[in-house]
Amino acid sequence: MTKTELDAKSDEEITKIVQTEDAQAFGVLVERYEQKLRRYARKFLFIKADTEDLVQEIFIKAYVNIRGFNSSMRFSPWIYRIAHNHFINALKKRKNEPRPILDPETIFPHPIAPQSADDKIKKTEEKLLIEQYLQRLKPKYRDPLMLYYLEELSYQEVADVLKIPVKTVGVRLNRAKAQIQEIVKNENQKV
Amino acid sequence: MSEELKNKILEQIKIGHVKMKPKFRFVLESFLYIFGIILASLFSLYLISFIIFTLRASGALAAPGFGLRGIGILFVSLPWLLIVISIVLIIIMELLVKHFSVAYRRPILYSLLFIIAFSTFGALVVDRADLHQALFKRARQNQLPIAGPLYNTFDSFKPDNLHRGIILTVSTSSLELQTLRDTTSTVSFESLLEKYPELLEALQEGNPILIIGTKIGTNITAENIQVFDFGDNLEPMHEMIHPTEPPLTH
Repeated sequence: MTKTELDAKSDEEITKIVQTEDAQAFGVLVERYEQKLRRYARKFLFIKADTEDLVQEIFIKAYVNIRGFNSSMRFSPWIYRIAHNHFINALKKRKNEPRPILDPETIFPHPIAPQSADDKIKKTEEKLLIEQYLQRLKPKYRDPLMLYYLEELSYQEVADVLKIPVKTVGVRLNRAKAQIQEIVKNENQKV
Repeated sequence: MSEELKNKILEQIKIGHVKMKPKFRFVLESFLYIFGIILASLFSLYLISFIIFTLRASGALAAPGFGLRGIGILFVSLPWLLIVISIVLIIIMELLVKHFSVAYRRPILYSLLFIIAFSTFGALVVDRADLHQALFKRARQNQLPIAGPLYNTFDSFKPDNLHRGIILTVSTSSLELQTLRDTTSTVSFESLLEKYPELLEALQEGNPILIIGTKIGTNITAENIQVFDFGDNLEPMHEMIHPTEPPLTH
C-alpha cells in the first residue's frame, strides 16, 4: 500500500493493517502522533528538554501491544492511555507525586451536564489560561485538563485514557477551572 | 525530526528488535480476567450462602424471635471471619470488573452495588437450592472428604446459650432435646411454666425448638423456648439414618 493511500485512512484502519499485513504502516501513526505525544510529555512532566526517548518508548510499547488494540474502538485514547501510564511511571522514578488509587469522585454518580457547544467556544480562551496555571493544580485535576483542552480529546476519550467515569471527567474539569479562577483572583488581589 | 524518530522505530521493527505480542496473549489476558471474575463470584456465592446456612442450622437466624436478646445473639453468632473473606472477594470482583470499559465508565457505586446485589440474591438462591443441606448430611455420614470438617463445625460460631434441636420426649417440667450434632440434652423449663402456662401444650414430641439457656454438662436450664418452623429439613442424624424408627426415649 502506498504512502498516499495510507495517509487517506483513519488511525483505526491503519492499526488494522499493522496488525494483519504491513508492520511498516506503523510509521504513519508515528507521524500523526509524534508531536501530540511530545507536547503531552512536556506538559505532563513539566520538562522543556527533548522528549524523543520518552516518545520513542511509548511508540514501541504501542507497537508491541498493538494486537491488543480493538480496531472498533478509537485509537487516540488507547495511545494516550499508554503515554499516561508511561509518564506516571516516569514521575514515580523522578519524584514522589502521590496519585490516589481510589478517588471519591469516581464512586458516586454526578448530575453533570454533558459536553455542550458553549464549552467548545470557551475552550480556546480557557486553553491559554490553563497552560499558564497547569503546574499549580493537583494531578487528578491536571490530567483531564491537559487531555481535554490541550490534547482536544472528548469527555468519553478522556474517561477512557484515565479509566474514570465520563461524569467524573466533567466534575474534575469544573473543579480544575474553579481552582484556576481562584488562583487568578488571588494573584490579581496581590497586584 | 518526525522522519528521524519514525525511521528509528521502523528500523527497529524491520530488524526484529521490536516485535508485536501475539494476539492470543491479549485473548488469554481477557480470559483470565473473566475467569477470575467467575471464580470469585462462585466462591462468594458459596461462602455467603454457607454463612446463611450456618446461621440457620445453629438456630441463630431464628434467634431474633426472642426479641432484643435474640438480636444480640444473632449479632455475636455472625461468622465475622467468613464475612470479612466475603467482603474481600467482593472487592476483588470490583477490581477485576474495573478492567472492562462497561464498569470503569460508570461510577464505582453502580458496579459495586451490582456485585453486592448479585452476591446476596445469588447466595439466597443457592441457600434455597438446599446445596449446603445436602453437603451437611453427607458430611455427617463421613462421605464428604474435603469440605467435611467445614460442615461439621457449622455451629461453632453460635454462643453457648443457644440450642436448636428436636423434642424427643416431654415430661411436665423437662424435655429431651436432640441436636443436629446428634447429642441429647435434658432441658428443664419448670421456671417458664408460671409465666407461660400454655408452653407445655406447645411442646410436642418431634417438634423443632429453639432454646436460650445455660448448659452444664448435658443439662440445659431454659430461659426461653420457642417452637419454631426453621423452614428447612435438617433433622438430627438419628432421624436421618433411621427415618422410620420412633424417636429415641430415655
